[in-house]
Amino acid sequence: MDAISYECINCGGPLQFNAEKGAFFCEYCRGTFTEKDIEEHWAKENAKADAQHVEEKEPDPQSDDFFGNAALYECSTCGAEVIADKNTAATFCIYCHNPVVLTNRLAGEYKPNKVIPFKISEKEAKQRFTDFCKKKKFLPKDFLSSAQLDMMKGVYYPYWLVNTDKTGGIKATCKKKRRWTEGDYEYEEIKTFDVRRRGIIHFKGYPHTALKSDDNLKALKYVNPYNDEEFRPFTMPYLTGFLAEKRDVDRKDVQSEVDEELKGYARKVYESSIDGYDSVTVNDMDLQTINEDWEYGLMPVWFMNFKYNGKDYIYAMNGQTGKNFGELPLDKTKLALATAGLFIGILVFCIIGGIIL
Amino acid sequence: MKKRVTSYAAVLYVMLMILSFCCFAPAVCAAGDDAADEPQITTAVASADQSELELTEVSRKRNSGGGRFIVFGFIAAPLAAGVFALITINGYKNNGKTEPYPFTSKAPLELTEKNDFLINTEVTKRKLNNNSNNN
Repeated sequence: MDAISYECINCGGPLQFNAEKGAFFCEYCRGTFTEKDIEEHWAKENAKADAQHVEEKEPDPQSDDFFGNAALYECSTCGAEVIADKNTAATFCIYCHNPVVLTNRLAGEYKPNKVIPFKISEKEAKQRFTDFCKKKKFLPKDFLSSAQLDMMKGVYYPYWLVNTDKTGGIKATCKKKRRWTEGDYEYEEIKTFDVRRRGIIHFKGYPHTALKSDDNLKALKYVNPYNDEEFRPFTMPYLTGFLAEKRDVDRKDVQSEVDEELKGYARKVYESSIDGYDSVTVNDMDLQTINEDWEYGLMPVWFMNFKYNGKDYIYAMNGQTGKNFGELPLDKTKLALATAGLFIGILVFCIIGGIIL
Repeated sequence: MKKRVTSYAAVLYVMLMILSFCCFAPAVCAAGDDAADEPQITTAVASADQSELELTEVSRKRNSGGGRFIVFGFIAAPLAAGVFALITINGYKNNGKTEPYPFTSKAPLELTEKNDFLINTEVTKRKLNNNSNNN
């Protein structure tokens, strides 16, 4: 397998995509390069590297099942042999810590159409996480340690992006109520309407995760939405300095799930076109697809998995907008003491008040 | 160690609730009984001093109000503590669970049919309960 580390054009140091600058940055010579600079340089280098490309090593058929789902590659910087999970497309060499892109993983049908580069840097992500946690008063004491923060990783996750036009409509029973008083009587008028709405809905960039089974799927759903205007055509250098996963589900595997989700959204869209009523009851809905176009994109997520008291927790942050999602551990002792304090405080106040009265 | 501390805190919490109830419930009941035993409507006593009678009546009403305030405390305190605990636990679990697809901006609707047919009108009336007392 081709394992590539993008090197600085000036000094040969490892290049990483810098979210703050929006360009490629070398930490050694502080050089900054655009995507065009990298592509031109590598076009020349690839011509030389063709005869020297690194083959993926065949897994030993006698070895554990784990190797059937992984691959060995040789780091192009230090030569170490490293195992990568079957879905990993970009990672770091665990020996020399240089970023490595496994180019064959994102080739052919698995090559993404587009990517949203990271806009929030690692430093900013950690700061946002710290600010987010500061508002929570019942976190465990040692939760915000630097070792904990270092566990935050930037990952490009694969998504299917669906652009589709659907036609259909809804039938609903709606009611309008009016009340007034005349003399000693109160009157209530209820008008019942048969409401119909039909139209075409243009769904743009509906995202669905392209991973088969992942404990992080819920987090990947709720870090959305992303700003579509910042999509760029995919090129490998964007992955340097971050982890990346390739998709392991085809379009046909998630087609029915996406159709059901879009049907739910279509109902909300049609309902939102009904206004001016006190109650709306949808009786019937129909929906047909006019056209559909699926794209495969990579979207940035800052991720953290951690354990507390034997339970796994997930925290995810949208690498473009900063929207976060996650469950945080709760120090039950602190909470119990605070609750008891509140209980005693109110009770004492009422008792003193009662005695005075 | 932490589990032990947590369980001690929970036991202490329950004991405090029981102790508070046992200490103050008799006083509350006594205050309530005092208020219940005495008649609300005073009967004129020809030989009694009118002002002394009024003072006694006021102090009875005060005891009744104070007792109710204490009872309110026994209801409000655990309720407030429980609500506080539930809100805190929920706040740590479901952070950021907002709509992942902004359909209002990303899924525009091109309406081709918009019809509202009135199918029924119903009018009901009810007599209002007027307060006929002219005090």
